[in-house]
Amino acid sequence: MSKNFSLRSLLVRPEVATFLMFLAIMIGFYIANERFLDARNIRIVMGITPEYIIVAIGIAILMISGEFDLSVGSVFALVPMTIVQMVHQGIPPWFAIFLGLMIGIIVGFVNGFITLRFGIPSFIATLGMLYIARSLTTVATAGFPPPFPHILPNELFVYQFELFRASLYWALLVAVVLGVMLHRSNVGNWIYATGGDQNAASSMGIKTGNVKMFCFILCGFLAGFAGMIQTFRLEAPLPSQGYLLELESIAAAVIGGVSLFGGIGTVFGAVIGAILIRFLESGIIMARIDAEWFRAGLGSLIIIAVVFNTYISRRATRIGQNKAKD
Amino acid sequence: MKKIASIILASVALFATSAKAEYKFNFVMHSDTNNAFWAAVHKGFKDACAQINADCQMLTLSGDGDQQEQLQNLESSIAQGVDGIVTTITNPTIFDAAVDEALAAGIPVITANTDDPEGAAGSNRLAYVGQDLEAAGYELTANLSEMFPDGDIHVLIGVADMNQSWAYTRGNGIARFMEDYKAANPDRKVTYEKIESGLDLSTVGNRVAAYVQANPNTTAYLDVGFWEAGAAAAVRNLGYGPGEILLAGFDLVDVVFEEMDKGYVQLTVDQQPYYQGYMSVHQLYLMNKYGLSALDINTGKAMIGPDDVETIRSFKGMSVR
Repeated sequence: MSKNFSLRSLLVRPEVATFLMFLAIMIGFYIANERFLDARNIRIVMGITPEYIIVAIGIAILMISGEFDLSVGSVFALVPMTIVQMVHQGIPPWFAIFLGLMIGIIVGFVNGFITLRFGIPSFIATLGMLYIARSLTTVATAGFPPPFPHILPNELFVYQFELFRASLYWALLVAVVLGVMLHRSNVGNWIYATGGDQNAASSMGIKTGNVKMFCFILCGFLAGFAGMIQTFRLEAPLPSQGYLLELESIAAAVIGGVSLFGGIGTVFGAVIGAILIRFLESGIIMARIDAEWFRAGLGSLIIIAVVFNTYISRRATRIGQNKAKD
Repeated sequence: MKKIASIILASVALFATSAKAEYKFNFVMHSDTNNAFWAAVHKGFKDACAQINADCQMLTLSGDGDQQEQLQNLESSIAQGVDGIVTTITNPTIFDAAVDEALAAGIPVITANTDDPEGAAGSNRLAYVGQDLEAAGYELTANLSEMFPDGDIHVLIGVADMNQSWAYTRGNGIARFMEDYKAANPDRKVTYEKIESGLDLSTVGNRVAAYVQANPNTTAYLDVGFWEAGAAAAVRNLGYGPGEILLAGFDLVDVVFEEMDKGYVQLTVDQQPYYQGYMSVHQLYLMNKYGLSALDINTGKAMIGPDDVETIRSFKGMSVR
């Protein structure tokens, strides 16, 4: 009885199903091309993945609170571009990083303010911000992308160790800190309550507006931070950086079991979702399938993941009911 | 549960390719699949691969010009352990380390279509198969200048994407000619301006239309891609007749020919993209098979005007031009 019960409680967790799917995909692509799991390929994929993990965590927490942010891809480009330009203007590197990350925070605040103050869907408010921030990035290039100033402390964020980059440890730090916040603190409880049923949460005395504002700001900050890491890795600020990232991040969160309707999801799920997408992309190329199939693969995976998650949790609930009857 | 897992596993395993080709080559390019120009490059690449029975893969992007994604595709190609890579180099620095890594792993890398702006001095790639982009920009403008009217001249240069080296290198060639033209005509007022014009017909059309309305003295618009065709439709909508604003650009695509038929586009440059796909594969093959060394191939900068359209159209059905 207790064994079945623990299996059930494990399986109803959508991120566990995602993890199983991740393993299946890893094995499948390994069969397609043994080099898929070579140290070289792992090094390449895991060099890129931390940037996506950090954005996906921000999106996941915001979605759990019941809101969206479509501007993360643009903020991902805007923050590092302004950091680089500020350094070129003579601002000391660490101060430029601080000011750049503040821009991410301000964008998050504006997203939250417009959504909450005017009572419009965050989908619309942040769609507007998607265009505004991308346009500001182009403006910040001053007509021509600037060279990377090597006085920036990029090694601290992206130093290449044997297999992983320093950015992976930063992503893990973000995941652990925010995982503890979400799953072990009052703030986390407020976020789940706000996203699950805002009216009920309000009547319990939770300041749902403040909770959502916090999540918007966190999401903007993390998108800017991740974008900065990408620029540090490439040693070039690219105005095209983060293109379509907003949809990939939402996909990562959904694949990882975050509900589109709020109130459900975990940091771990978003992390696994982001890793899965990056390995899927690499696997399709390694299997020598033309890259345009990546989007078809990703699309199918989103559908499969959600259907699979729904099936597993229904199945597990049924096992539980049968056991209860016994 | 087991059943579902096995279905997923089996469908993923289906991705495994069974072809047992002698060599594997990858082409890592900087555009998405919607860009009409690349069809001829792709055709040349596929035809060459079929002739030598090579297993070939063309890696496109989700977003036109997303250099981070292109770098990732280049790195994945190295990890695949292919026998040769053809790539474009659209940024002067970010691809350098990956090119060096490929060469260190014994994978020859040649560039096609777009080279490092500094050529061999800027990248360790073994050869370049493509147009001299700067010279082509210069020649295009020189040829178009023969149609310039008397009096003051103001030229608008549409640099599609300031972040792409192929775009600004061609733009620099256009600007260099304008400087020479200005020096050669000290008694006339000769000016030019560059704008970031965009990577699709409607964006370019909107931007050029807005510019022309604000600057009615514009003599000519030169695009670094084939999007002068979008500008043609836009100036027509503004009420301009054919040739009232001279339009020129690069490459042979249907929409440009249509605008040439209507008299709105005066000149385009042919870089023979089929060669860029075709010759690069054959080079990689011969380098692998016989140890031959790579060589640069200039695929040309032939000027194409409305009179040439009919001849070129006769090859269009073959998707090579």
